[in-house]
Amino acid sequence: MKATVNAKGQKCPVPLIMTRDALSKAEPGDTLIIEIDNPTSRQNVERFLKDNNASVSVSEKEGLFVLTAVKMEENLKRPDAEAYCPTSHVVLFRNNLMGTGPEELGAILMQAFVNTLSKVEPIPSALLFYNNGIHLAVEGSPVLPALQELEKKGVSLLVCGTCLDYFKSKGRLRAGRVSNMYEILEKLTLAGHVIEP
Amino acid sequence: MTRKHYFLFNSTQDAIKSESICREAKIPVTVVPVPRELSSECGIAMESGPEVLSAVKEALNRNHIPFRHTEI
Repeated sequence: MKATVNAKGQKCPVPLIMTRDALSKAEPGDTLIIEIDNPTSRQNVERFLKDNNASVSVSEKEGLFVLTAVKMEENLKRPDAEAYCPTSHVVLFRNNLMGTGPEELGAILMQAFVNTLSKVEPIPSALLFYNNGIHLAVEGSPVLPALQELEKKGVSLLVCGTCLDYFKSKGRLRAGRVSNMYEILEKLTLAGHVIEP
Repeated sequence: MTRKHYFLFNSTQDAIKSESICREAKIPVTVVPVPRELSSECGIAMESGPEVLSAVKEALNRNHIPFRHTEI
């Protein structure tokens, strides 16, 4: 089997995430052709593939890098593709308000913050929500369209399951997916840096 | 490129009030920072699609909130 990943025009960490997804789906012995048009992503993706024991060869033509990789092992050793992006950062929402102060001000600032996240490059690799922060991702939140747009761009949205349970909001999650302490701590540990609004 | 519509206000309080008025009236608007092209100062604006322009204007006028509508 042969699969092609077209990551042209995509910035870190998107090519890494696309490669990871394709590599996960492939069977040992399958070939992946990955097309990338920026040298930084080429390096990151190559490193990611090698660390996951795929054999890699690279050719370049007029600024387009074509990586040919053959999957060797069933399971990925280092599936956390975002961590290979040196600019990879995560945004931590521990509250549904931005900053400390009047609630109405914090709420409007948070809306503007979330609605701007996808407009500033590079975009984060993950958004983490816990405690009051989970209210941003549940039904009735004014920032759901922006969160869903970030999700479409490949950003992971991880929402604390304990917190959803505490607020009886499990059935009302409308962006991202239910996550746990392990995964949230892993993202924080591997992040290049963490932003807190 | 499609042009975007922005509503700018005299104060942050007016921006907060306007957002809440639109939310209650179920008019879809997006709260954004005032675009850099319009001002270098920190400010909150509302962005809307052309289809709800008149609804937003009407709601703000009804509530006597002064605003400036601009497109970029």
